[in-house]
Amino acid sequence: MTPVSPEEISTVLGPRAVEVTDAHGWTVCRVEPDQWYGCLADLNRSLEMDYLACLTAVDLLEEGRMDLVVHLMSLERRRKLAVKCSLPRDGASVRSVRDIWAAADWLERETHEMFGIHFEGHPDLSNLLLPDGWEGHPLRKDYVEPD
Amino acid sequence: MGVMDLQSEGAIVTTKLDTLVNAARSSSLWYMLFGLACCAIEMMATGAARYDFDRFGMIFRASPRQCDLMIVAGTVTKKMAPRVRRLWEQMAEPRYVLAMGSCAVSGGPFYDSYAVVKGVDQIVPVDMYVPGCPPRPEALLQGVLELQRRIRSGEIPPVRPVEPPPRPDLAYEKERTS
Repeated sequence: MTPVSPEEISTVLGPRAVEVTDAHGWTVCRVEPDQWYGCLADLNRSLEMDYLACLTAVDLLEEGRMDLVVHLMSLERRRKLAVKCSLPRDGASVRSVRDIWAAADWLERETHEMFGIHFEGHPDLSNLLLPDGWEGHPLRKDYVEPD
Repeated sequence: MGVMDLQSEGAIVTTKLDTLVNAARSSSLWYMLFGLACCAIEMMATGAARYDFDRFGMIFRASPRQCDLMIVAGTVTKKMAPRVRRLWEQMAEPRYVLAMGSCAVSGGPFYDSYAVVKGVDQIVPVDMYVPGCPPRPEALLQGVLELQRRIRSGEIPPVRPVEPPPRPDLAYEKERTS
């Protein structure tokens, strides 16, 4: 797997790619939250990003925001790419990408319960790993374990 | 020591019924086919030919209703805790619980995890603790033999009141909210 080049990203996304960086052998592309779904759909279509390997979030408490991250791969072209978007720590919401990659279903449920990010259009955001009735989001940096 | 040790030099044995029944109980501790994590591998090794639980009258049973002993072998997560409590409640009395390994004893390496119960004694009463991560089969055997000794001697009474769990919030399932 080789990383997708910044030129290819700029061909597909144009100005929607706010920032393109290189990290640990991955090309990391940052987009705006309201263009999250559209950008990922275009990457899926134009670069044959047919495999969603990971979807999770990073709580950047000191910077007062959260980063939503996906790792995409193209098994056809043997390419890989990470896409991020910055979300507020309160009331974060993006459109679900479940209808592009079915693999996003459980990953979005997990991200929802662990970080409190809402995914619009997801059919069932009930708890996946946590027991029912859980309070709080355990993977947030300011989560305090009640016991 | 088993029932045979009660035999005196003559052919006639005189004993208390309690002693006889306790000896029988301690010599047929059927344990539940129930493992939660890596400790279960050591429990299986203890049950298999090399260490051979069978020679102490220990046979695993696949139903809690036929079991005398629950060996809690592994990490008890908060999601699993209500199920552990329910299995324990389904066992017929007299019933015994052995906490195997650091996790079941106290939470072990997951002492600061949001998802792990800090000791299975928060949800069910424990008769014997076997520390280790995981304990070797010899350690589990020693714990079981010590449990058998206490049952036989009457230190653990067969009939005990069912106390409410120290952490009812962990022992029973919550209403589904989402």
